[in-house]
Amino acid sequence: MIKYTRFQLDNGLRVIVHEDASTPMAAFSLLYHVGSKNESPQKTGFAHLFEHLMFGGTTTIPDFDTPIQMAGGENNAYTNADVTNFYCTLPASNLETIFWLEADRMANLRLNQKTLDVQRKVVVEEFKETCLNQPYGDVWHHLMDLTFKKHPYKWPTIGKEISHIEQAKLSDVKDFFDAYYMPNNAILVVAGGIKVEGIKRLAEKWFGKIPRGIPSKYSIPEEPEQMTIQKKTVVADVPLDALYMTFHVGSRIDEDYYIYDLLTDIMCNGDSARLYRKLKKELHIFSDIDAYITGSFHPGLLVIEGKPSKGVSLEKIEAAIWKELETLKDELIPAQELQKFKNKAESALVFSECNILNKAINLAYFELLGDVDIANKQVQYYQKITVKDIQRIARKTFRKENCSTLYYKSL
Amino acid sequence: MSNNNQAPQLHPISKIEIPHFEQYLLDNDIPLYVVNMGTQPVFKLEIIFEAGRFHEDKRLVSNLTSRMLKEGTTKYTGAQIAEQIDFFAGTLGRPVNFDSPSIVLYGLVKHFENLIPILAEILSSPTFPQEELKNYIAEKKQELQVNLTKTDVIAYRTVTEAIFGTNHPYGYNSVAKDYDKISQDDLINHFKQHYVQGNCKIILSGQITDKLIQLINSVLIPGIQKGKSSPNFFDINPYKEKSIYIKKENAVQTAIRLGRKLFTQHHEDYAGLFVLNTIFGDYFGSRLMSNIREDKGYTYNIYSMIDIMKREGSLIIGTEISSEHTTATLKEIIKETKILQETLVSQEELTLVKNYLMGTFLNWVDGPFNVASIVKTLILSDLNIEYFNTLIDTTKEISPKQIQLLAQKYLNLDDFYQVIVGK
Repeated sequence: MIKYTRFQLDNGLRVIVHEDASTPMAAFSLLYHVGSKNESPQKTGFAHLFEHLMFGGTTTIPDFDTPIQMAGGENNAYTNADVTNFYCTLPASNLETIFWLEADRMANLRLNQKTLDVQRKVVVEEFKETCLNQPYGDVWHHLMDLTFKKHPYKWPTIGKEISHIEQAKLSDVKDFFDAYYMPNNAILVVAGGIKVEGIKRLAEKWFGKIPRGIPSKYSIPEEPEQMTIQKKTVVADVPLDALYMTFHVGSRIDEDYYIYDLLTDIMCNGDSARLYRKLKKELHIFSDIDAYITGSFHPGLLVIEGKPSKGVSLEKIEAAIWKELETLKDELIPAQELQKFKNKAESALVFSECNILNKAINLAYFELLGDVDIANKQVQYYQKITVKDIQRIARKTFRKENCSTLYYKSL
Repeated sequence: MSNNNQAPQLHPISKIEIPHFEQYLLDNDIPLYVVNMGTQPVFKLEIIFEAGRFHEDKRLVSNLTSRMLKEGTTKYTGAQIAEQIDFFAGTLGRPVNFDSPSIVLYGLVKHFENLIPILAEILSSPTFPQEELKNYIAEKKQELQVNLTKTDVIAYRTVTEAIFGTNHPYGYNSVAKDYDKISQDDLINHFKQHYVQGNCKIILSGQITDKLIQLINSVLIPGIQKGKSSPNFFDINPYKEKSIYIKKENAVQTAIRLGRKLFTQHHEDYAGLFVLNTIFGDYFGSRLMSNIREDKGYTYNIYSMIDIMKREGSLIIGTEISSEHTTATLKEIIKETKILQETLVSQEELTLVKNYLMGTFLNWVDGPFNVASIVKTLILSDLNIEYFNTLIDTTKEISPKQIQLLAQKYLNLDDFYQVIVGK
């Protein structure tokens, strides 16, 4: 159970406070509702590049990181398809420092050529390090492109290609800032050894005077329903073949999300999960297998990925997966098996509440989804799932025409 | 616009204390350390055996023994063990540690009673089934094949091997042919000799009650065999050649690792070097990051790190860069070491690093699992609480002159191995 207080400033900034008296630390998370889904197909990788530029200093405070370190804090940020989140943990006694800095860069960010030049290079190196210089590093590029036809989930957050990042102009990034970085497009969460009254005062003091902005009118194209199976083969210099399969599912907001989550758990979460047990430990046709959902804001994916054991073909492991998926459609799973994964889900939820930063980030995301109280409803959502729900979702999802299959083959 | 741009006043952290932890001696003389704190009904149970690479008769035996423990016992198959642990929502980890591998169980307090008997079974009568071993080795060899295509992995393996030598437990690397030499008997023998009560220490953290401690005493440990074993002794035979270049024609980036041998936390310079290393390359505002990433844009990440084990330590500088920047990056790294040796760090920068580290230490003592990590560091390296206090006091008191002297002593590039993997 996470107790929280929620309020909103006149400029639209939503604020959530969670007191945890057991810690002398505080966690601060400022989430902007902008990610790579807000990019145009010709300018991908922008949301993430922009996250880097947010650390370039402002007209009033030249360097963002130094004052946080001086306050004994640690800060970072991440961008995904849906959101950009700037977060920080620091001693609760120095919490005001991060209010000062985050409010300042929301109001006074100074976008300059030098920062852009350096961070373009840094991000290009990040692209190379994570996507090009790693075996299978570009798989997400191929897989998303195969699976999505219209929706911007079609490209990975890092960007479709390096040239998009290299070509980013100062005017482009300024437009991006104006379109998304405003109090009425942000959610602030503070958790830890702090008091609600103090946070109300700080939020008003630092963010209260920042004017409301005009949100971008850009409408994100919807993904049409997939009608036929999609297939692609990539050949690359990798030591082993690999198989990737995706299925279109709902969004993180759908109530069925929790059923999808348990369904992938039943398949691959833990040593006793059925695909793991059957295909890897009993038949030894996989050396590695996993299944998960993307849990995105717009309808996302259920992904199955694996590598065959030595001497086993991709065709063979693909057929073996389909056989298991058909079983999930045809036969109700035993109640005991469902209970096991409910127990695991419960445990994962309790553990996710052990850390203040984790709690802060989760609260921000639930608020974005439309109901911060999801944080406390999830246990019940999992508990009420039945074996029939699992079968219903398996039947709805595991259809050939809803599937995209990528063979990633060794040269 | 926000017109109040006055920086808020800072409140320096002056005092940090490790929360209290209890120490018990269990019935068969195994020490148990208990960290009872936290807001959630969870536990972490870590059972540590001094049964690592210094106790091996053959390479890779310690790691494989630890990995294979849960694959079957006289009473249960691996599948049955997995089923029971999953049903009671336990998570079983076996972190790699060259000195002392451990078995870690995370779970909800309410399931503790149901999980402990399974763990007791694993610790008293594992069978290391031949078939499971064969499959696991096949899997590990495939994983190795993938890892050996990564420039950063090759560079790290090479630099640690260069520092400690190919025959030393901290230096040797896993290779396919060593996996082929391992038999079921090797694991059985390693377990029998070294997973014994005299080599064992246990840490229990989370919301801990007397009942849980009782269960450990009465259910978990009775099956652990009596005895104690001693580590073997190994000479360190470092590489003669200080500069190693490994060509990888198709690499998109070049991996650089520079490394030297250090010492353990018992050394008088450890605490000071910890501060120096932070300034040099161990936080976002470090000299290496500020210059090579934030000014030059050569890399996404560059760091220096101190890696301390029970018997030795090392300092490693690492980065991945575009191949055309290799020479320039090396030049800048050398330049940064020279600056630290020749110029006093400013009071302003030193204050910043001190404040940053005090915040880090405050985080170290926050929550049961963090405190359990500190307890682990203390008991594995035979340190007492004074070690932690010295680290804090040194951080608070160290002067620019002391930093410079340490840089002159430990940041001489002649003492470093240089490994470059790429085009």
